[in-house]
Amino acid sequence: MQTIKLQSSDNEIFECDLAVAKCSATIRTMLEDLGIDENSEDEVVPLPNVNSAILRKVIQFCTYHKDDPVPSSTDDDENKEKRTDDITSWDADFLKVDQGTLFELILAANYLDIRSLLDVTCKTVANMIKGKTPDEIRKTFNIKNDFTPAEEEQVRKENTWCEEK
Amino acid sequence: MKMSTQNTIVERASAELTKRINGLRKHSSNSSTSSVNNNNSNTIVGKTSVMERVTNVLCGGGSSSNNSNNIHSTNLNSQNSATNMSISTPEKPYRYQTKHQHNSIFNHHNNKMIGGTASQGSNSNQSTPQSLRKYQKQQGTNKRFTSVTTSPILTIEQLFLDEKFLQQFLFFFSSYERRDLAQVCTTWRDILYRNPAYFSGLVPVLQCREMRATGNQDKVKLYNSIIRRGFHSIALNGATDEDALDIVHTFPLASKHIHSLSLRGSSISDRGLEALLDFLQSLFELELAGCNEVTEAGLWACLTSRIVSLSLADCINVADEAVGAVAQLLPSLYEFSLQAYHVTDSALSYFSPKQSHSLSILRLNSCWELTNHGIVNIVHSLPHLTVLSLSGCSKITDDGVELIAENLQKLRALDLSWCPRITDAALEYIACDLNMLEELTLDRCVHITDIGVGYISTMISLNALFLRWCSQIRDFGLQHLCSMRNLQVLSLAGCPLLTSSGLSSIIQLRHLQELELTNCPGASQELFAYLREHLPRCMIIE
Repeated sequence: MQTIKLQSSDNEIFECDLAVAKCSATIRTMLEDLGIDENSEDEVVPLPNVNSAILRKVIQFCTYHKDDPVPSSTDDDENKEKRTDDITSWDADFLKVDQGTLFELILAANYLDIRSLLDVTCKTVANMIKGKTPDEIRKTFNIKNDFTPAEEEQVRKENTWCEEK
Repeated sequence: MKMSTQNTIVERASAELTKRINGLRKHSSNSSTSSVNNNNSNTIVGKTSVMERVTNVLCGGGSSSNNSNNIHSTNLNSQNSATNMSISTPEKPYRYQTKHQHNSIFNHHNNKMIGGTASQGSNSNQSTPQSLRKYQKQQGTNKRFTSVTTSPILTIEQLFLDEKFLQQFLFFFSSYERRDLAQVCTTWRDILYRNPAYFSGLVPVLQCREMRATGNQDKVKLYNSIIRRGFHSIALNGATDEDALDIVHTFPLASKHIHSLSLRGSSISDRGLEALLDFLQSLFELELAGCNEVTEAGLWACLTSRIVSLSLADCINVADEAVGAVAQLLPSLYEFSLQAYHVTDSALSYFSPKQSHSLSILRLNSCWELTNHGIVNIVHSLPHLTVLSLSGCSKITDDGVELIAENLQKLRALDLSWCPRITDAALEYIACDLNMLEELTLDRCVHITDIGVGYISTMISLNALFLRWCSQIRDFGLQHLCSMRNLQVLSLAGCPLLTSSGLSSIIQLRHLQELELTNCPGASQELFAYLREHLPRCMIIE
């Protein structure tokens, strides 16, 4: 089994299967662009935006999911509401972490471009904020309310006056 | 619960409707050329009406997918070829796809023009340079380690203000939930308002009483937000004639953009209704619910032949004469829903020969006066119906159902809920003759027994079956149902005699997508766990 070395932001080196690392589109692109092949085993891929604790989790996730079928593009209608109630029990257990860790995982998934991890972390975060008020959502993500009071009233009306058909 | 299957039926029907409307639109000069940005032949999940999909085809709004069957329709015109083109170059937002970034910028500007003043807020500009920057970055072909290490998103705040991320993240919510998300900050609002798909299945409801206290400027802003979000329908609650006239004066864009109008609980009179319908030149769909001032003479005066979908409910003056107006004035009527206690059997003979071909969906809900004679009239005047609801038409008996089964062979959906006189014999007629039936609703048909359910189980094309509160069904009947391999939606809510072990056999229905077991005494927590384990893709409603 071919392996690859990944270096976290705190300079810890992780050796993992190439197939596992390639769950990350970012790493995949890097390897392709650099032309890394079987002979370059000493190459270390630096991942300066991911610390070792998170990278360990990410590798754990990718190792478990490395043989998952790639979702076909037809399953993947981007303009359609996606379910959030279909998280598998393994994933749900994997994501039983504090909010800070969850956020770091979603950042890492986004940075490393790991589709399946991004999906399941997005679902978890989405479930977390469903039913919350706009203000609670802002607090959750540290987002500034940049509406003027008049705009806020306007956007409230524009949206609360929408009903399901 | 019903939606997914109803959609497949309705969707195919909507393709037909599209053909018809395209024919109508050939005469109009302002044919829109913008392409439908999305197509999808799969079942559409989510609540999109026929009209919404139809208007998307007509006007290029992206608020929901459009059925690719349309392309094969014989009536190919410029609209459809535009759809065709968009298939060969699908515009799908993909991570690391530079083309899309470019498109989204383009759309953004487009939208700002449409949105007018409403989008001139300082923050709506933020996203453009940001996405431009990404666009340029990804243009760089020389992707070394360094280019990746300079990823700008380091904190959760940055991520949750990042346009590319949010565009995907926001799809993990329903349209209804997105109403709250749009109020988080201007970035979220602007991203949501830009893509009509985020608001599909919703309708803006103008609370007329509150509107009266609103300044003109704020009204205009509200109207702009309606256009900006790609809505083609509006509903008015509590509208008076003055409110109707006010809309005519302050919402000029509605004339072209609004295809669907609902008036609910409104004291609007014939005069106001006429003014409104004169003004809304693109209106295809009209709903009047609880409008007690509207008279039958008013309907005679204001209904225009553009209307292909009409719903009249709970309007005290609506009776036979109103059906006469509908029959005379709406030759292209495709969908007609009527809930009126005083409509009699004879009204159902008024439909014109033209309508016998165009009218495909007929819902007569709680028309208490109707008897089997009314059914005779329906099967004669409207032999091409594909969807028929007689929910709450409580005088209908097995003989009426026999007429339906013998004569309406194109039926795909039949609703006989709250028709308590129906017995197993009716189900035998249905099972023998309605070979195309995909959806059958028998809620509260309390005389149905396991024998009737046995008949139903032979219907191979049936994929949705509703048996709520059919109080005589036992495990034995359920056993029959378990042979229906094509069943996707099943409701046994409130069936008191089904036991836990009987219900556990449902796992044989491998294609089940939705299962409703509310108020079933036999449905224990253990059963739900068992069903979930064996039907992982099925949505189970407890």
